[in-house]
This record gives sequence, structure tokens and C-alpha cells, in this order.
Amino acid sequence: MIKVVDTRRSLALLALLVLGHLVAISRQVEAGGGSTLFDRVLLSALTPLSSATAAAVRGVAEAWHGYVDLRGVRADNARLREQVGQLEMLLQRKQDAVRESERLHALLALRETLPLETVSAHVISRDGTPWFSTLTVDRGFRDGVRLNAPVLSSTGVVGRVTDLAPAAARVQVVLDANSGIGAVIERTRVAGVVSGQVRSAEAGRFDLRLKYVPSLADAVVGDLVVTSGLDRIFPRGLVIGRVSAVGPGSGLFKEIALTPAARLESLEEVLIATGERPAVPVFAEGVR
Amino acid sequence: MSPALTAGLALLTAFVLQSGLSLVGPGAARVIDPLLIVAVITALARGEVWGMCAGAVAGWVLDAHFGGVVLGLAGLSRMLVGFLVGFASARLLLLGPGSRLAVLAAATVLDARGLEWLAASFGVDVPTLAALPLGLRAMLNAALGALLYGVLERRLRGEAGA
Repeated sequence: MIKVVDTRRSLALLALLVLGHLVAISRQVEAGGGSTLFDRVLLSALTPLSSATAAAVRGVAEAWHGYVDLRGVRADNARLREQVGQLEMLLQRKQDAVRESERLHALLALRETLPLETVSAHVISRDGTPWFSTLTVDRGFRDGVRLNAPVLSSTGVVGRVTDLAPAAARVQVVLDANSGIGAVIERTRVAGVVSGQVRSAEAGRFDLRLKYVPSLADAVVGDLVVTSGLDRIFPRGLVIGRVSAVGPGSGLFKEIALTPAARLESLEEVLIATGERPAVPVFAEGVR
Repeated sequence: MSPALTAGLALLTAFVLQSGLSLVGPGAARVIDPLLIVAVITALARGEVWGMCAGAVAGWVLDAHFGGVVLGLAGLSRMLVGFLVGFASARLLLLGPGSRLAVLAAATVLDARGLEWLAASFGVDVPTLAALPLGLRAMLNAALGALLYGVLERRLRGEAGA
């Protein structure tokens, strides 16, 4: 036992001394490239350790940067989401403004062609039912609006004023089954009366009826129907709608359905007639 | 006298003798190697630890003082020789004069060839001894070492008897 321990001890000492000698020799032996064998061996031995350490440090640094970046990204994300929300709202407002501007341009164009003095008004409320028959606008008698004044949109007749307040007015829309507008088929000059249709409104369609058109009268789908001026409310020539269906009806008159020209379900601005426009003398330039 | 002091004095003596030989005749200094003889005798008498320590010192002295190409090369070679001799002597019966002669001769050859091998391993050029000079050197070292060992042994026995 003692022998074995002694042998082990002497072998350990031998190994230590051999290692010391190898180190000492390696430090003196040139390995080429200006470096000693010791340096090269040491470098080779330490390189994996250095590489592992560098990789670990790099990994930790990258993880840390990743974490920091992630936090930054999260904050950026929240900020950008907020910005996107704001920009979307801004864009929506701009688009609304553009659409409003287009609608007002169209109304202005109409206003210039009308033989009437008009004021523009915003629709501020309407019936909450699909078959709505009235709407309210933000102009009243303080603005010169009178009862039965015609209400128009850029694309066609809307209705007439039935109730008045200082700064508001209720408008009976042409969809109302009780409304009545003197009308003619533009192509054939066949006269009739336009009113709302209760049945089609209940079905979710916004159809009008052209009543009192004789059975023998010429009327086809697609015919344009305009105001006749005979009701003394609407001046003649305003577009009401187009014929969408023609039936034989019962008795003396045809059954004619119209599609209204005004987009009644999405009205936002309207023109209200306040009186007749004074005639402009065509010779004014010449007198001067 | 303590074994360390004895070994130290022996090595010092060998160093002086080697230096003297190198001054008197460089050729003789190359053939007879007192430092190696001291290292081998120490290993035979004291075992592998003493043997490798004495061998290492002997080799380093040779490297440092007698023109070793690389410091430690002869030290390593002789340290291994000292260890092997000590290891063998502690386990084998190497007490007879013939055994000592054989061990001393083998140690000389082993030291020379070992040095060459180590030098080659490190890419260092050292002069290679041909077989004949090496054999001559081994015989001379063995004879001288055996003689020295016998003298020492007789003296130690005499001291023990007195």
C-alpha cells in the first residue's frame, strides 16, 4: 500500500516536472511566424476558452440588447399604434371634409342653375325607421325658410318644409305616402303625381309612385320624371327620379314605380328655396 | 551527511570535473559524462524521486553551462533517465556490478537517444551521435560509474562498520 502511494506520488512529481520542462522548452523553441512554441501552444489551448468566453459574453450582450430593443420596440409599437389611430382619425376627418366639399360643390352648382333663392342646410336628424318620411334641418324662419318651401339635393328633389322653428325646419320627404308632387315624364310630357309607397318602404326599398298616368300613356322603364310646376310648390324641371317599373294597374291608370334621384337615405346637406330669384337683365352690360 | 547534501556535493564535484575535462580536452568532455554518472548512481542508491531530481539538475547544468541548444532539453531527458533508473532499481535487483554496468550503459544510450528524440519533437537541431561513439561513451561511463559506485559503497560500508 505504501509502495503504491509512493509510486503515485513519484509519478505525480514526475508529471509535474515533465510539464514544467515542456513549458520551459516550449518558451524557447521558435515555432515560426516569430512566436515561440509555448506561445502557440498556449494560444491554441486558450483559444477555445477565449472563444467560448467571447461567445458567452456576445450572447449575453446580444440577449441584453435584444431585451432592451424589445422594450424599445414595445414602446415604439404602442406609440406608433397611437399615432396610427390619430392619423386614421385625421384621415377620416379629411376624407369627410373632401366628401362634404364635393357635396357642397354639387349643391352650389345646382344652386346656380335654379331660378330660386336658396339657403343650404345640414340634415340634423331623421326618422329612426327605415321607412322614414321626415327629416330635420338646421335652418328655420330666421334664415328665410317658409312653409312648403321646396327642399332639394344636388341630385334631385328631397321634399318640402312642413314645420318651422326659428333655426330648424321639418321636411316631408317625397318618400312619405302622403306627399304629392306634380310631375311629368320628361320624354313624353305625360303628367302625374309622385308620392311615396308604403309597401316598398316597408320592404326596405325607397321607391316612389307616379300616380294618375293614363293606361294608354307612353311610359317605359328608364324614363326621367321631373317636376311639372303645377303644384305651385316645386318649380318645373327639377329631377325627381327614373321609372323603374311600369305595370298595367287597375282601371284607368298605369302602375308606375320610380327610383328617387336624390340619395335620400344618406342625405347630409340640402338646399332650401327661400324665394324666386330676381331676373337678371341680359342687357345690363350693354347699357353701361 | 544528509542525502540531499551528498547528492548536491556529488553533482558539484561532477560539474567541476566536467568543466575541467572540457578545458583539458573537449573531446574527452564529450565522451565522459560525470553529471550523468552522478544522476544514475543517485537513482540507483536512492530511488526514482532522487534520481529524477538529480537527473534534472544534471541536465540543467549541462544545458546552462555546457552549450545546450535549448534550456531544459537535457534536463528533461536526464530527469526521465533518472526516474527510470530509480524506478527500476527500487523494484529490480540491480545490486551486482554487472547490473550496474548495464544500467549505466543503458542510461547513457537512453539519455543520448532521448535527447535526440526530444529535440526532434520540438524541431530543434542537435548533433546526432553515431552508434559507435555512443557505444564507446556508454562503456566508458558505465565503467567509470561502476567504479565510483563501488568506491562509495565500500566507504559507506566502512563507515557503517566503524
